[in-house]
Amino acid sequence: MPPSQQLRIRDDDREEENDQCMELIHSESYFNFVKMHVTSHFRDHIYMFGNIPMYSTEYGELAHKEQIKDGWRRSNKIEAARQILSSYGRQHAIRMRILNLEFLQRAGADLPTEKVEHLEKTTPTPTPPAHWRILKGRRDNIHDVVDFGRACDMSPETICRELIRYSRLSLPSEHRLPENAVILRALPVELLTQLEIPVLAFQEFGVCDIHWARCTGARLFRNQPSQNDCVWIEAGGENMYGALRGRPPARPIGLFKIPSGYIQQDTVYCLARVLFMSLVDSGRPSDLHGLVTVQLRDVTR
Amino acid sequence: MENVTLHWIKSNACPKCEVPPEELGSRAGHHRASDYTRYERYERENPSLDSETHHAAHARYTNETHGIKRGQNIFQGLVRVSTPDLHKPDMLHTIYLGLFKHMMHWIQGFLKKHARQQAFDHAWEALPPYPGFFVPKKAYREVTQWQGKEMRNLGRCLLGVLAVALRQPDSRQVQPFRGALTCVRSLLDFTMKAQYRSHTPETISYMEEYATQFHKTKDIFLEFCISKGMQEKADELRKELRRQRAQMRE
Repeated sequence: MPPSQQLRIRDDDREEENDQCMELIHSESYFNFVKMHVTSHFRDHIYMFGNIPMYSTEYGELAHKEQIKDGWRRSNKIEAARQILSSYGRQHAIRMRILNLEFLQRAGADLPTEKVEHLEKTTPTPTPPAHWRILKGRRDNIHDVVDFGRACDMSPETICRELIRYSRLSLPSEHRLPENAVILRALPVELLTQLEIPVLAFQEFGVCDIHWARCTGARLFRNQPSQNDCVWIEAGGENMYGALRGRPPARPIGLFKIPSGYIQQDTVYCLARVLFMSLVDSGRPSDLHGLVTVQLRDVTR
Repeated sequence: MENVTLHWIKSNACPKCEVPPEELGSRAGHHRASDYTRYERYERENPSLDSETHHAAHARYTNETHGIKRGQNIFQGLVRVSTPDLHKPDMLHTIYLGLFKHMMHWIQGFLKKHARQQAFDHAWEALPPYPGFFVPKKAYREVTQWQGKEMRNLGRCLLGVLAVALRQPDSRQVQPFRGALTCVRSLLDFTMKAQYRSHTPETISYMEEYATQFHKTKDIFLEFCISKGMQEKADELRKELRRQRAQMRE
């Protein structure tokens, strides 16, 4: 028998085997397991008792660390159960006591001086929630635009050109940057590596989550490759970029600021060099998976 | 597992309703809530249960009560306690360590069948960092044990990775890829909605819609949802076919 015929026969045999196995599997396999069914009760549960995460065991399992494991570490490991119980009980009681005293203090109750002093020592001063973006992680040895260009692998001429372009397009006339390249090149610049972005928490009123976006440029981050986290940038009106509504994603590769007192007395210019992404299909979500596809392109602004 | 002990039920029984084991995977029909008073009455009215052997009595009772075992249920008979309502949905074990884990098993089988495992691993390794998202350090196949937090993280990026891995299908792959993406998308959307801290009738109807869509499209993964026993059966069938073919040729 010629080899081509042998091959064809072998392929046919394999196909027949696969078909028969699939038939068997399809007739006898099933999705009948409890976890598949339990999700069908979610709707009724929400109507009767409220949201689902409230009852999730995730919080209970996390509490295991604070309530049990920390107590075990603090104990002398001899008859530890009682020590663990009393350790967490004590912590809980102290927290309740502090909360009660704080409430009484706010309500104007006359508390003994030593208690007030103690309360001031133990209560952390509440920090107001941040509602603006903060740049952090200043890098040394970057003093002006020329240094910044060297660190970001970009010529000072290009930086000056982009700064002038940005100034003309986006800044009001009273806050514009000087258009003289010599003055621009000599401008003091601070290069930063971290951006704190407050993002309104989902389904919470007035609560912000802080997102830390790292931007180390070409430098290593904690002995790992450089980290330049993607961010959403405002780059047009809400009717632009399809479903992204004027906020396309981009990758910052250099965060910098020009301190106050050099251009305007009371204005700090916080700027970033970003790598743009182009949107496939003008930002329309795919019918198949509902996601917007983007591509990195070699355009920086 | 805790519910099996706590509610004193069989491992394939629902702690809330009387769904038969063979209908656990379908969404069709509404099943009667477990009624412990009725089960107690049944036990009272059937004194023959006591005269039967232990095993036979248990089998008869669990058959009648749809998986609830006889005696020892600590909640039974407590005043103002509705035993079926004591069971609470659990995102961690039901979704993250339950359905997500199953789904990843199916997806791995699906990718293997269509020779897309490599593409999936490449997309998985190329995930960019994002605030609040932990970039996985290893390929999915290399991780042996998954925590709930990691599975939740996986839920955030899975659809994107899968969409990249299933790019540019050939003519035979278009339909299965579409089915797989729709199924995974509906389960992930359902999970997103289930995580909401407050709901409106609209969000609940969306959640239901996604669940229905998932059940409609999940059959694409049926061939990968096989137990060890089933796999052995399929291997035996394959061997048997080869043996028969060899005999015929002789």
